[in-house]
Amino acid sequence: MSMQHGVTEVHGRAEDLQSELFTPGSGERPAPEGYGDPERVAAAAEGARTSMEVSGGVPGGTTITVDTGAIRDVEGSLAGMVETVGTTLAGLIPVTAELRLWALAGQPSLAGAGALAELVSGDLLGQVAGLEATAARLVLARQNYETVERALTSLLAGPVWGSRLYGVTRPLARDCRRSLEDVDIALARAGITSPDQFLERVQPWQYGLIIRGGGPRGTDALIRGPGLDDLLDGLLRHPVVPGGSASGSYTASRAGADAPEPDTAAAEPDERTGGAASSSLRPLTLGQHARALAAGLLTAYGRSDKTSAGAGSPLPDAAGEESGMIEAMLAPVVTAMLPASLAGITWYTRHRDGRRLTPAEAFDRGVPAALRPALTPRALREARREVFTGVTPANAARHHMTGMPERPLPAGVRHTGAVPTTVAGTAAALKDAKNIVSGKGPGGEQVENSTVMVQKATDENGRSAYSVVLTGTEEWEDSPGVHDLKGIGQGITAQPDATLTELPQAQRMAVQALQDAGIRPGDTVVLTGHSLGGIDAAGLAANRAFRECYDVAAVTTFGSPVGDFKIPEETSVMAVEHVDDVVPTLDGVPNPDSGHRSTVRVNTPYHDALTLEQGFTGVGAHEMYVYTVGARGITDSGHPAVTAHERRLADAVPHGPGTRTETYVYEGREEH
Amino acid sequence: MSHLASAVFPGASPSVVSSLVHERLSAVARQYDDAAEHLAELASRIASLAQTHGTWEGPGARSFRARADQHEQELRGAEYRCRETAQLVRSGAAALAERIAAVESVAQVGAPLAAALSTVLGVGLAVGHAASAPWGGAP
Repeated sequence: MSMQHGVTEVHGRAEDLQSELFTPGSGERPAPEGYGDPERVAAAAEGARTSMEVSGGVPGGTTITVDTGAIRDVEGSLAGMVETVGTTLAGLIPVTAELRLWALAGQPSLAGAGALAELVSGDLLGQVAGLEATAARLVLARQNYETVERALTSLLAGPVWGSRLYGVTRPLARDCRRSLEDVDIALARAGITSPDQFLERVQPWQYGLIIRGGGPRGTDALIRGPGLDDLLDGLLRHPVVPGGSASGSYTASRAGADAPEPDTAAAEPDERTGGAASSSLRPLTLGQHARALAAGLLTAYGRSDKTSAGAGSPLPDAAGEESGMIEAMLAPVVTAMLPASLAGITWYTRHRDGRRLTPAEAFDRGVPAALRPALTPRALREARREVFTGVTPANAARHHMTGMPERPLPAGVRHTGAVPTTVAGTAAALKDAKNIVSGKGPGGEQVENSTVMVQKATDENGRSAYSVVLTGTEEWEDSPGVHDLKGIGQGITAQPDATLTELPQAQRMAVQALQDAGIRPGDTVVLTGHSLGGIDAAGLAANRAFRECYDVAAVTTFGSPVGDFKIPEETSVMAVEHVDDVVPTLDGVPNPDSGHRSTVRVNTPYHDALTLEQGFTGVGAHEMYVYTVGARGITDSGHPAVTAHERRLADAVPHGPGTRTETYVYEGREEH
Repeated sequence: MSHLASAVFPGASPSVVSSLVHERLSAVARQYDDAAEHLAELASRIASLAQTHGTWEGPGARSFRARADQHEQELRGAEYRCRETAQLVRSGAAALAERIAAVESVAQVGAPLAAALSTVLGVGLAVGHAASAPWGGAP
């Protein structure tokens, strides 16, 4: 195997680590800090279940699917229920009165029964009022839909839908609407019906509102209003390069003008559209343009001698990592804001040759200079040599593999090591893989999880399927490992027609592990990934060479920007996103949801993710532990799209009694 | 012997009154059991109504599902209370019947109980009461 530049060495073959990593009976998993209370975890899972919105995944499924006839049927059913509850109440009135008399008989249990009977009457009276109110809201909702439907089919609708302002403001408007609905739900859960109760139990919070008792299972509801992620989502979807003119030549030269080595900064035309290599007839969005530009700039900086010294430290301290992460996350924000704030000046300033600058040209002129101080320390350097080591039971300890008791999972979340066939299971497996190597090495040094995990499930009849588990970013700079900033750069610019040897590092390691596990052409593969791992999973699923070799049955991603990867309909794709997570918005395109492809958006279920200092930017909502908790709710939802995806997983992957699981791990390191 | 008791239960034996009381309260308990059944049915029905996935995704859908969840929980709560009530009535019936059967004469049950018996069972141990009529609820 060889990489594009430098040499790839593969040391040894990966061997089955199942017993090392998943020893049966090795005891309960420890809970990570903040996730130890099972009741809290269960409430968070319920919060995810009740807040999820699904787009696609079933034939004809879109973000908004409304059958007003069905709503009318529900109205009718509710009216019938109101009548039944009323009749039940009427039937109990005389016996309640009688029990009141029996309560005078001096028998304690009858006195208790009398008191309870009064409560039942009160309950039922409340139910009648509540059901009537719900029915009235349904009528209102249906009438609103019917009104909107008429408006959308009017003559005015076309220009509104086609306007750029609509595209930019749509995600913000969507989340405003969602937040208002969250408030409505929390008020209903908390039983707040009067202004006094509202004042008493609704409090402002730094990012929104806290409604006491408004969450699932009596917890408080934290309503985070629209945030930076929503603003970004709209801005990054803004088309900046007209369709059909996306040659990339101008962009490349302008980007290079600010880069240390202009000729090496060029982003290839195809790269700018990421893994999907979208049709050049479609306009490129700011997000598509910016990420290719960023990858080109970082690569150019990496090739420069000027920056090589500053980017040399592979393992920053914890504080440095966090600030670096925020910086790296915010870089696209700056990228997005700059053209917006300069719009009045730049977009309408004529170029010196008398030509008006395109938005992309204006963007390329201002952005590289503005971002240079932030991006230089994040330069991506070419690897001189990379080593993929197959991990075996004999060398596992040397590679810092940790057993189950050292791999925490939130209370109530289980993963025994079998290849999962549910969304909840895949999330748990991902978190588990993330912790395969964690903490500190023997010398106390920080140990980076630079591994890729492949599992093989074989049933009693010898049928096998393979699961590739790809974890998220470990280091927010070009580190010696594979889950780093360069991994992101490679992942977002991966080409669907690349050969297997041209894939990003993590993907090549996955292919190596699959081969060591004994995969044969035509065998079934399912892919799972979080963040960068999701980009890699989608990249593999979109890669033609990989698909020609293997049957890619399903892809499940968590918090990943995968909208730009074109994945054929033979593969069931589910993208899980927290509404407050900024990362999935960074692709700058909506997910192409359809019958085989769905996006599940849930409120960030764990409050701590919102209250931390990273709550505003949405970075806190990106944590895989939070996704792991929410995934339980998604699996419990019974939503047809979730059911269909899980059925696909279950059909593809042998499971149940008699199934044998093997686990193969590769570790990758590179030298610059 | 109190005047009230002698007026209400002229010549009735404690065992007869005891069994009437037991029968009467058992009927009350059954009504609460029936109500609990109806409420359980309603809770299941609203739970199925809340499964609008696939037919309704969009504004208002989550809010409706949350409210339906709330109604289901409240109906289950009311169902539980009905069953508790029935249980308490049954244990109260057994204890009260035992208490009445233990006296030599109905007149010895005491004024409060006698008042309750006279109001519920009627003077002269009349049977036939609104509470024993079939419950008119429809599923």
